[in-house]
Amino acid sequence: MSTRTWIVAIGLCAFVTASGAYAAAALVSQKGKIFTPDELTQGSGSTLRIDNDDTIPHNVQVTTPDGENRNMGMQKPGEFADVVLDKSGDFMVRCGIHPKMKLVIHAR
Amino acid sequence: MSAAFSANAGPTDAELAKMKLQYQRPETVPFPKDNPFSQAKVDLGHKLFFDPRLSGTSTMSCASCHNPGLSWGDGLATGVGSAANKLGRRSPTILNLAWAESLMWDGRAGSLEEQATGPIEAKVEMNQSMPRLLTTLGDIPGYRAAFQVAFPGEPISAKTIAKAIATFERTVVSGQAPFDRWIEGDEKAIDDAAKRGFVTFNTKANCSACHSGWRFTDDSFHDIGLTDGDLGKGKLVPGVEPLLHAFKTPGLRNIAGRAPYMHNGSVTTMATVVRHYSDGFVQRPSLSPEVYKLKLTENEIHDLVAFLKTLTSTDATIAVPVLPISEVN
Ligand code: HEC
Ligand code: HEC
Ligand SMILES: [Cu+2]
Repeated sequence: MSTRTWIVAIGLCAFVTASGAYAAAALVSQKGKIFTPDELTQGSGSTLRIDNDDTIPHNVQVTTPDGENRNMGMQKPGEFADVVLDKSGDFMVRCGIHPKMKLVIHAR
Repeated sequence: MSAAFSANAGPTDAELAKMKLQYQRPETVPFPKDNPFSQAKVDLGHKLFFDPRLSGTSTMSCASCHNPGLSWGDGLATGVGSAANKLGRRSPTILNLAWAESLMWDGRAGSLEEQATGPIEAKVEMNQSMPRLLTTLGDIPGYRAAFQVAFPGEPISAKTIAKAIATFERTVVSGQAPFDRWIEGDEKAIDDAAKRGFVTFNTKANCSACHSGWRFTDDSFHDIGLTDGDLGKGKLVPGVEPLLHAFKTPGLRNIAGRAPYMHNGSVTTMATVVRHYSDGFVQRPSLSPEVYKLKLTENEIHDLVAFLKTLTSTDATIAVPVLPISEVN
């Protein structure tokens, strides 16, 4: 819980220093084979950073609102994936190794 | 602590209770919103699944390779399709797929609906053309009526065929096994060797890292170090090392009736499977970190096999349906 608050705080800083432009901020964490949070709303046009805070590798795969599949490759523990929200609508994210891991990003 | 574990320092009663809690069966079967349950769809799907007229030469049905008498597999190392075509991989069971996250050994199908019409049209499997199948089914009065009841106002189509087959498949659930009776509190349901095997499965042998929950699968993809050249999911998703040689963790329900094992049928007995995990796998960068030398004793191997045998249910046999007859002209 406290870690989450901290990550959000950093996110806001990045936002401010980038003077209005959207900067990638880690808003989603992969830990214990789940995405936390597993649903969130973000500005379309922004970039969402997904951290791997786990002890095992993950493979973020994104389906865009118009059905395009984007494989973000492997994220080892400590690495991250930047998901560009270049459309409006729902981006569905799943781990290619552990398909039970699911995340929905509402981009508006 | 129960006598069964007194020989080696086993888990406390509380630890054992916690372990057992992870294996409780669900009470209902999930159906997707866009294809909800109806008995009419189950009945129709049941007929289609067993009907050889779905294949190009009317000689092969889904049940030829997913045979209820063989735990819904075919007992072969790799499937055999139309014109005795050998398939590259083993025919998996269709038990308990209502809960699956993705289908096929490499997860390439996202839903049972998406999967269902694939084998019908695959040249190496049932080698049927969809337009021809729609005509064939449309010419059979019994099917015309059954589709009307299951999908009122909709034409017979690839979509309705898939929905009916998928709905039937979701009702194919493994029944109560001795293991389930033990989980529910019947101490006599399984013997001491199986109880020790259950503990080993969840502790030293690390099997539950992947074979987790009442279906005994995490629905994930792992390389467990088999030596064939099949890249599994790694062929579909390049650049992700852990997916090289990775296949979907199979559920272990009714596993005793499904030899030979693995995606290529290369392992013939349950004891050989356990020995594979103990020290028979190949080391390579893609190997799952959950697979490591276990140094199992002969007793532990024996107990693990005894435990795996308790997962077999004595299901009421699913009847081979009466198929609608073709019109005589
Ligand atoms: C010639 C043998 C054969 C026939 C006929 C056949 N299958 Fe299969 N089936 C297989 C094989 C082999 C696989 C695994 C293929 C792979 O993963 O690459 C499979 C996989 C499946 C799966 C995925 C199981 C899982 O655990 O992911 C389902 C569901 C399935 N088949 C249903 C059907 C249906 C429905 C039909 C009839 C329309 C059918 N099959 C006809 C051999 C067959
Ligand atoms: C790293 C995850 C993982 C671990 C740990 C693991 N398994 Fe598996 N298991 C799998 C996967 C994946 C397969 C399918 C592999 C293939 O066909 O390439 C499999 C296959 C099997 C099969 C054959 C199933 C079938 O239908 O062919 C059995 C039986 C089995 N495992 C039992 C065990 C036992 C017992 C243990 C512990 C000693 C264990 N597994 C540990 C992932 C795992
Ligand atoms: Cu993952």
